[in-house]
Formats: sequence, structure tokens, C-alpha cells
Amino acid sequence: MSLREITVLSDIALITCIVQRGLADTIIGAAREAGAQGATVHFARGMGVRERLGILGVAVEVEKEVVDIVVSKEQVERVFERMYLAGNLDTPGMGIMYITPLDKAATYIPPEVLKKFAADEDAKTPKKNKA
Amino acid sequence: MENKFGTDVKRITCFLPKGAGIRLVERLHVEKNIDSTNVHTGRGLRTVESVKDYGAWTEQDVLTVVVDAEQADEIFAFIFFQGELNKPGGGFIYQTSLVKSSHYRLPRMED
Repeated sequence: MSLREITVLSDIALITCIVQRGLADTIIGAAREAGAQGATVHFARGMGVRERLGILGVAVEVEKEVVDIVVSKEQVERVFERMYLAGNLDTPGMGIMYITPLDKAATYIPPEVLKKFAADEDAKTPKKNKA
Repeated sequence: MENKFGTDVKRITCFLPKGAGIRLVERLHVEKNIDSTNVHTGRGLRTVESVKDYGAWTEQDVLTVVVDAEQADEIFAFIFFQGELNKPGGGFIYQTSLVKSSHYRLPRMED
């Protein structure tokens, strides 16, 4: 592969999960068990259900962690479900998560991985009969 | 106001090693005339390429830029190569479509 080529990844989706501070690592652990490769986390501050829970709202942390995980469309449902369960997102105030479809993505792909994909593609392509 | 909203727009986001985000903001401004970009920081868990990568959190810059669809491929490639995302540990870049975007541009001096 030349250094000026981009190997574009398609059929991928971004899972974003916004949870209370301190819970991101548990959720990332679940995502990785389900097949996710990497993750990025940043801090944020949020409001919403906390204000509506009244006195019970003190149990909800204002500081949030935002987890971004990019996965293939084949994996997205499985990873999403595992993250949802790990974060207890069916409980009010625990957080929210959503999936964003991506147009394309790119990163460094080791040459040996590219070669393997090229070989797999060649194997799938039917050979033409010689005249 | 003219061109208040853009509808055919893309958002390019990339995860970069710490410090690379601000450098790219400068280059986008100087070389591509893009004045509106955002950088924030976070921590990242990279794809495992060797044993030492496993479980290794690193500080990251997250760069976000919103561009017209017709310019998106050019900016995507610019960030990819100038940000050295084509090298191991360089980061990750992706592009999404937006439904609508605010579209303010500074007026020209003669206007």
C-alpha cells in the first residue's frame, strides 16, 4: 500500500453512551467482551432526569462520561445491547445511548491485514474461464 | 440572513494523539481556510496491535469539523494525511451526514 492511499472503512456505526462519571470503564469492558476494539471517553456535564427526580435526584451524578465506540454494522446490535445492560440504562437517571450511522472511516491498517483481506476477496471472486 | 443554514453538510471527527488536534486546527485554518473547528480532550483505548497496547489508556484530542458535502472528501483526506492517521497509533477518523447546520461566515471587508 502506498502512503498516499486511504483504506476507507464502510458499513460501520458509532455507539455513543452518556453515563455518570465512573461508569464508563464497566461499559467499555462489556463492549470489548462483545467484540469492540477500541473506545474513547471524555467528560461532560449533563442535566435532565436528575432535575425531575426531586430529592431522589441527588443520587444522580451531574458529571458525565461520554463513551464513543466505533463498530461494524454486523456487531452494532450485540455491542449496543451488552453496553445497555452493563450500564443499567433501563433505570431512570443512569444515562442514555444511541447509534449514529457513519458514512465512512479510516485508520492505519497493518499491511498484513490488508493482504489477508485482498486474498479473501480474490478467493471470493469467481475465476474467469480462459478462452 | 443569507445562507443561514446548510443542509448538505458533513461532520468529520477524528481521535488523535494529544497535541495533534491543535496543530491540525492551525493547518486547516491556514491551508484550507476553515475557521470553525472544535477540539476537546479525552482518554482512549486503542485497537490492540501488540501485547503492550492491551488495556493502555492514552490521552487523546478529539477534533470535530463541519464542512460542506462537496468539500468533505478533500478535508477528510487532508486530516488523514496531515494528522498522520496512516501511521500506527495515529488515531481514527470518521465522517457522518448532518441534517442541518448553522452556516455563519464572516462578511467580506468590502461588503
